[in-house]
Parts: sequence; C-alpha cells; structure tokens
Amino acid sequence: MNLRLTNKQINIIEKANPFLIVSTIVAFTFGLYFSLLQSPPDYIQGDSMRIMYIHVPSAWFALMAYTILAGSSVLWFITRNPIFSIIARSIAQIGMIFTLISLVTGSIWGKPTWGVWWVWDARLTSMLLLFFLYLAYIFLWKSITNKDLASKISAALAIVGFVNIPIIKFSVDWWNTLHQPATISKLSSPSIDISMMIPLFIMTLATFLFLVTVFFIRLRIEILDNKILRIREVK
Amino acid sequence: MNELISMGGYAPFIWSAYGFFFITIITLFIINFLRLKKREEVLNKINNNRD
Amino acid sequence: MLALLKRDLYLALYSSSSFFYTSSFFVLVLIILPFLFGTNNVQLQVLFKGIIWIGLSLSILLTMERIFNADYEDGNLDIIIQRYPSLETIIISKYITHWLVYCLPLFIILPILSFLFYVSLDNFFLIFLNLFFGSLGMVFIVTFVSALTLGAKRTIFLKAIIVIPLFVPFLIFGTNLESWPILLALSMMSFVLSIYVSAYGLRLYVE
Repeated sequence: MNLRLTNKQINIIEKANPFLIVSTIVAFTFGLYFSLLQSPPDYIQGDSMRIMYIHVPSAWFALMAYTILAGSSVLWFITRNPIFSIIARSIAQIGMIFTLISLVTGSIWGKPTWGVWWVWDARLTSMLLLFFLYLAYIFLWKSITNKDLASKISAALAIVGFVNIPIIKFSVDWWNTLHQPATISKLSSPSIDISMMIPLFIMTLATFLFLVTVFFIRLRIEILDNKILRIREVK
Repeated sequence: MNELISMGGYAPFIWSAYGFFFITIITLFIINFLRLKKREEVLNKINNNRD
Repeated sequence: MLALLKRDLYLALYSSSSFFYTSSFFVLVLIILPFLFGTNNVQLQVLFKGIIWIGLSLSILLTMERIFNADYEDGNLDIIIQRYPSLETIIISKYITHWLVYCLPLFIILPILSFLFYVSLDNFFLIFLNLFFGSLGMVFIVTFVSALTLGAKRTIFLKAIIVIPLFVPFLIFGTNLESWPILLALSMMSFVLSIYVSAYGLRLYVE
C-alpha cells in the first residue's frame, strides 16, 4: 500500500491538531452557554427540548459520516487511491459513536416527550439499523487479517449498505404507518424559532470541530500503521 | 443557579443526556489519542534500533 | 452448469442435510409457538405469519457457510472457477442449490403447517407467494455476503450482523399479505446486486 498523501499534507494535519482541540473546547463552551442558559424553553416541551441541541447534531453527523464512508468507498473503486480507503476507515468508528449518541439522547428525550424510553418510530428504527450497518462494516474490517483484501471487501460492503439505506428507510416508513398512528411519533413543532437556531448552530459547529479533530487523529493512526507495516515488511 | 440545575423539572433527563454526550465524545478522543501515542512510540523504537 | 448443479446438490444432500432434516427444522421452529404463547387460535394465526419468516431466515442464515466456504477451504473453488469461465454461471448454480436444499422443504410442508395453524385457503396462497419471492431475495443476499466474507474468520455471528439489516425490508413486507409484488421487486433488485458483488468477492479471493 503506497500512500499518496504528501509529507506536507501530513504535516498540516499534525499541526492542525492543537488548534482544532482549542477551538472545539471554545465552541462547546459557547454552545453550552447558549443552549443551557441563553435560550428560552420551548412553550410545549419546556426545558426538555434542550436535549435537541446535542441530539440533532449527533444525528446529522451520524448520517453524514455514512455518506462520507460510502462516498469515499465509491471513489476508492474509481481511483484505487488508498487514501480513500483510509478515510473510510477513519470515519466509520466516529459515525458509529455518533449514531449511538443520537439513539441514547433521543431515548432520553423521548421519556418526557412521549412518556416512554423507546417508541418504534420510523426514524428511531432506521437509526438503530444504521448502527448495525456501521457495526458490520467495522467488524468485517477487523475479522479479515489480510488488510489489503479487507479494504477491498469492506469498501464493497459500505456501498451495499448505502444502496440499502433508502430501501430500509422506505420499508420502515411503510411499516410504521401500518402499525402505528402517526400522531404520537411526530414531534410538535417542525419550524424552529430563531432563538433556538443560534444554540443549535453553535452546537453543530462544535460537534463538527470535534469530529474533524478525531478524524485527523484517526488519519494519523492509519498512516503510522502503514509506516510500521512497511518497515516490518522491509526487515 | 438553582434554575439552571433544576431545568424546569427536567433535570435528570437533560443532565444525563448532556453527560452521556460529553463522556462518550471525550472517551472517543482519549482512546484515539492514546492509540496515536502508542503508534508513535513503536515507530520511535524501530527508528532508534535502526540507528 | 448442469454438471456443477448436480455436484453441488449431491454434496449438499449427501454430506450434511437432507430434505427430511430441513423440513423437520421448520416444523420444530413452528411447534415452539403454542408452547410459548398458548393455544388461542386467533393469536396463533397472527404469530404464525411472523414466526415462519424467522424459521426461513434462520434456515438460510445458519447454512450460509456451506455456499462457498467448504469449496474455498478445500481448494475446489479454484478448480471450479478454472473449469467454468463465467463466474455468473457458478453463482447462479449456487443460488439454485441453496434455494432447493434449504428453502424448498418449507414450501413442501407449508400446506400442513398452515393447516395446523388455522390459516384459511386464500391466506395460504398469499403467504406462499410472499415466502416464495422473499426466500429468493434472501438467498441472493446471503450468497453475496458469503462471497464477501470468505476470508473472514469463521463466525456466523459476524455474518448475521451483516445479513440481518439487509433482511429487514423482506421481513417487513413479508408479513403483510398483499405485498408480494414489492417482494418480487426487492428480489429482482437484490439479484442484480448479488450477481455483481458475488463475482467481485470471488475474484478477489481466488486470485
């Protein structure tokens, strides 16, 4: 496996690390201030809707991470450039963690809103299945010892999973309308007030900065792994 | 201050959700950071042995 | 292709399982039902529609390592691929074998099972159609997953984690009686996907 990241680019990734950590912490401080203190409680849900400021960004990035995972797998198939395989692998674990966070916070938010910890709502069920798609990808990668082969195989699985997501979404939506009246599962207000947009925006930015920080660290781990592997091969 | 802690009666939900969020992402960061350090150590050891 | 089909069928039926085993498996999975949920007719009828899909999924899933793994591990897969230049032929032959050995017995004993669980004749035909198209699609899915995971450590649980989310659409539409056209469409889609992905996987492992 040869790497086509130049040393200069790797250097930038390394140098960016402290800067990213600091800006993540600053963004989260502002985000927490706005989401817990500066924003008004919702007139229907009261303060419980403050969970939205961590739940919604996690859910967005969980979906975005899978898009990146599948997109870089496709690009890997077209260009055969190993950097795309490394990107896919680096984003997978982060995406899985954010899926888990959005499930757990959604469930905690659900208790005061719906009265139960879990509803078999279409969105929740799709997220649960997304979690297992991530899990399958990561486990498959780990269980194949020949890493060159593993990256080829797991790229194929990522694309199959991505093709399957709209089918799962469609069938789960259909199943949900069949088994449940839609009224309990829908949240009350689809339009968000501007006073809630500000904390949501800052928290999204903060979560994004965090994601980039960890993503860069994971990129460096993969690059170093490759280096170690190559040195051992030469010996 | 009390208002902040009680959260209009939703304190257990809000604090556990925020707590879970931050504990998870901090753990994710630390685990990956330690892994990176380990790789760097191994690489240094290999390089030193070579010289 | 016929020779290959004959060999696969012979091996499957001779070495590991016969029609008798597979159909006994289906009967036993369904016999659990009244023990678990009591003998209420109406309830059993509802549960039957669901559990029969669990039986089908298990029968396809638990045996998926027999599709390619045995041939791959004793080296026969290389020989077969050398002899049959088009991978698609081999893959289609594997579909047919797997369906005949692990799904067909279900359809043979389905009349008896539906009799035992008070299913009306109209519903029986709809269940039959659903199961038929669903089982085709599920066999396609299991085949390409087993082609992809040939080099993975032999854990059926890993494969189950990969396969079950892919099964979900089939299970959702399968338990609804009027949705066999959707199942047919899903099966056709998974056929196209499966042919490409299985060929890709096989090529990677054999080279």
